Amino acid sequence: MQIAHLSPTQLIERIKDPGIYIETGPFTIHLQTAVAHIAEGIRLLYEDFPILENSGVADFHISFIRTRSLRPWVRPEVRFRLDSESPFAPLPLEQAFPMFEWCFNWCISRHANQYLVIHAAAVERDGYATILPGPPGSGKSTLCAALVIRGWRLLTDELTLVAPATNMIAALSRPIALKNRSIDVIRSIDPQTAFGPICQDTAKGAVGHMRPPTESVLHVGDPALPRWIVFPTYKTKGAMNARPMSKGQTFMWFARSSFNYTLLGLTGFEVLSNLVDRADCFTLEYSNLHDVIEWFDGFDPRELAAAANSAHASQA
Amino acid sequence: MRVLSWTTPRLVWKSWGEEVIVFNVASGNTHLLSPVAAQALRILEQNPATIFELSNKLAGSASVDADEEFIEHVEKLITNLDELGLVEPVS
Repeated sequence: MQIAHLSPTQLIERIKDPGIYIETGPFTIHLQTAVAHIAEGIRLLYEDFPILENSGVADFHISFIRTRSLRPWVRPEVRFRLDSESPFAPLPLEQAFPMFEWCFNWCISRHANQYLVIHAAAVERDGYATILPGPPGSGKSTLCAALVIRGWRLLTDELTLVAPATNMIAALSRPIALKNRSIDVIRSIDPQTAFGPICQDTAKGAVGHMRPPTESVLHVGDPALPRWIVFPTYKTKGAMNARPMSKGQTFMWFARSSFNYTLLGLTGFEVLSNLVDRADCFTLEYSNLHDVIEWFDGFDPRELAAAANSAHASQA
Repeated sequence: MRVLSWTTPRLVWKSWGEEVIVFNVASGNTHLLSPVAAQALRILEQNPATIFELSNKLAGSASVDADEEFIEHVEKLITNLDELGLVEPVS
């Protein structure tokens, strides 16, 4: 059963009690809340995701509780709980859905140590993944959203999960978080793109989440082989500029920006070595998304295979 | 006065051309090395050496003289590597 199979009223009632078990790639969350903003966001953005029977088994049991005050001038707020812990200060009620997304990301980045968890977006085509790392504001989510609209499969917009046993990337395919002007930029590429409610005045400015394409959600169980690593930087003007980035610098960037590289110890080193080994690495400055999409469309995974084959031939 | 010999903790290596990265198994830290630091660590990993011995080996591979200035550079290099936990004196 998928979320879309529930009516809005059924969804609200079920999330309220006993909560719903949503399967998002390798993780199952048990979400329980009476906050309507969250139920509405789930309805709009997670409709293709499977919901599981109430088994009591989940990777994360999370709830959001509206805080109450007897003083009417105090704005209503929402508090997040993971199990019985409440690790963060509450946020205004209007920000409840972005808060759900941020807290879900936090759960994964904090606890999913069966993966190397890298702060990066990732998309897939023909079984090969392009990883888009970058600090907040670099434009990685915007670029990720644009590529997804143009047919790349969404793996993740925020947390790239690399499985140590296979060195493959596991997909999450959750909604893409966009901020401020990026929301209009993506709407200009495809006016049909569905968004959840746009929240103004968050700590990050205006935040909206783009609904993941159905195809991406249906193939969430298909892992992808890392093939390209592109560090995007958005500029307000100027021509696109892509340059090779050294593997050593790429490795060190990932080591610093991974959530659990240090915790994984030698395993983290080996996973990252393998990842960087098999990828072509670039820095990319861009101001025009159409130019960039064209550049990405030129990616050919056979080029690496050909290079690897000729290297083996010369060693022999 | 006894002259110290230096060795390395257990290191795991990864290199792409001249770029060398080591993982220090004892500390869990990862380092991107300069070519000369990488060469010094490879020498010390194979056999412990004093700064004088290490200087001679490094100078020999670079076809330069291990003069006083060169040895001072190597001494500073070992000090830096010691601060990073990448070398340790042989007890």
